[in-house]
Amino acid sequence: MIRKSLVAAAVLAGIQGCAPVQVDNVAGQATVYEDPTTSGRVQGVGIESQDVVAMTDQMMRDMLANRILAARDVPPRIIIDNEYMRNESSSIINTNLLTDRLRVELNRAANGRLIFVGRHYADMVEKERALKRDGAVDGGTIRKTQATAGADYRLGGRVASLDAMDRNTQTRSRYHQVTFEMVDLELGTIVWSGSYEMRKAAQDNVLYR
Amino acid sequence: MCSIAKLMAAGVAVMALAGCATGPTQYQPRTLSVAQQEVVDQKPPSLRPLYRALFEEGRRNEVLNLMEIGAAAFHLQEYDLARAAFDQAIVNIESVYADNDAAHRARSLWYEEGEKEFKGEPYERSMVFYYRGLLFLREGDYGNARAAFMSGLLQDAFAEEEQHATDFASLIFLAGWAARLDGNGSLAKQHFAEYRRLRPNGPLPDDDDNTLVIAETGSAPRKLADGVGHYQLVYRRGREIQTQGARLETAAVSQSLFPIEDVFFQASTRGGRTVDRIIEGKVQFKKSAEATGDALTSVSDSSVLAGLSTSAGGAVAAGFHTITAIGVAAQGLSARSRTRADTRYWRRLPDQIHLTTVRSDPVSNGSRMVFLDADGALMVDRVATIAVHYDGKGNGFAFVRSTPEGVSP
Repeated sequence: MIRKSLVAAAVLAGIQGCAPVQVDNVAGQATVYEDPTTSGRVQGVGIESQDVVAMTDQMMRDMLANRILAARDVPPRIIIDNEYMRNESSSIINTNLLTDRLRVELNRAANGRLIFVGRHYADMVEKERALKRDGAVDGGTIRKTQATAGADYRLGGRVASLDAMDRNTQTRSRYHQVTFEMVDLELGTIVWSGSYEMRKAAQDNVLYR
Repeated sequence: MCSIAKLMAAGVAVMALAGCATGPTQYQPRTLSVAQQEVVDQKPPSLRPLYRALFEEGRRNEVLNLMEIGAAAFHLQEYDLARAAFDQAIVNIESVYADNDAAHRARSLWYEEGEKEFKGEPYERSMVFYYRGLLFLREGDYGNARAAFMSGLLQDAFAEEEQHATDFASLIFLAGWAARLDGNGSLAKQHFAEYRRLRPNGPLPDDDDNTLVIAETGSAPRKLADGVGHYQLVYRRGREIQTQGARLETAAVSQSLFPIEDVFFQASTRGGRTVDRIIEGKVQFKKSAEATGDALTSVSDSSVLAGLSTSAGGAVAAGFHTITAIGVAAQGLSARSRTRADTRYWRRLPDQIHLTTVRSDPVSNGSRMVFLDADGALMVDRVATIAVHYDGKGNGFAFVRSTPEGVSP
């Protein structure tokens, strides 16, 4: 009987296991490609890839449908860069993500109806022109112009946000409003405007509340 | 004889089980792969131990180690490394942990809170955004600097004591400063007005100020596990803090920096956490199981009953053995339940943040920061030369810490 009881105790102790050392043996995750137009594995309440794709697609279609911009006999010259794209939101974002995708997709889809001025490459262009004018290199095969292209319109815009927090459930939500506006660079009028809105809410695991 | 056996068995089991439950869980470090070792070797020597810890401690401490790397790199002026570390930490902090295995385990009775993947308490998360915002400011990216400061402020909104939610005055001031540099006067005005509500005596930037000067003093707030079973998370101010103030001295001016933030105050006014109620539940379970175990073993050990069982023979004796076993098991469960609060904390945080804004230009570079003790006396061994960094738009940023990296406060 003594032996039985001692064995039972030892077994019980063994089952419970005296192993304070833990090994993190969570399996790794192999790299996978994910569709940037869909929600990824990692999500928050900020601006994510699917938002960038969705908003730039929407703005592109809207701009191409605007007669002032895309139906002129002489294609207008447009600057789209992030020089006048302001981030006033609480989301950290590289606004080049918005303007670069918009410019690239518009340039592809416009098929010559819009001409894009690469003002963000102005320094590069000026250096090459100086080399040509100095005779250090020849004049190239296209043409010579008095000056680089002036633009008719330029994109401006703003990323703004409004945050809210439910203190009872610690659920947070963020509303984003991203506005895009095309400004006439002579007259100062706004010839096209578009905005994209979204609101996301999330609640962290209870351990982090 | 049976009684002796029972007592011995119970003693062995309870001692074994209780022995297992003492002290925080130890985690076995991982062995670095060749690629990871190469990454460590490529880093500056003073940062290598931190990168080694990052790989050895894995996901559980990833954010904590990234915080330490980011702060150390920032203090050592390794800004690219600091940026990368804080960006990675922010990805983790901003990601919503709706559910994962580690969090699931940490909720269970048999694992302690420290099992969960570390994301830091609100004050620690806020400070990640503070440093990231300073890096954006330094680069002249004012929009994202403001966004970072605002994100830090939102982390503070998780504080449960309502009067202390979003009271991180330094972040509000810095958001205003970033908005002002960005040419957004109306936003700047809003932020500065909010800042003055929290710090009525806090100075505002003069119209021609173009340089932000920040000084950090003291050491990080500490987290301790208090109470029976170490279930209660409490905060204590950092140890042996000597520096309490900072003064900027240039050829033209001697100006005290405004103590805009008490990081310990931010940590200690967080209030109760939701997870504390889970831990309290575990403590309750532990107490109940312990009481049940004690009651059952004492019943079976009672001499009257033991005598009865001996005289009654087989069936009754077996019944009391069962009671003993349940009692021992209950005591074992009690001993095995893990109630210890998570006391991991960011050790490189300061105790206080001081700041001022001044007009400066690259020509007048060459100021110094002197640090003051609690009586306002100059600490002769705590004088630092200030190097103002100017971004591409002509605005300056200077940061000084009373204790260089690797020196005690």
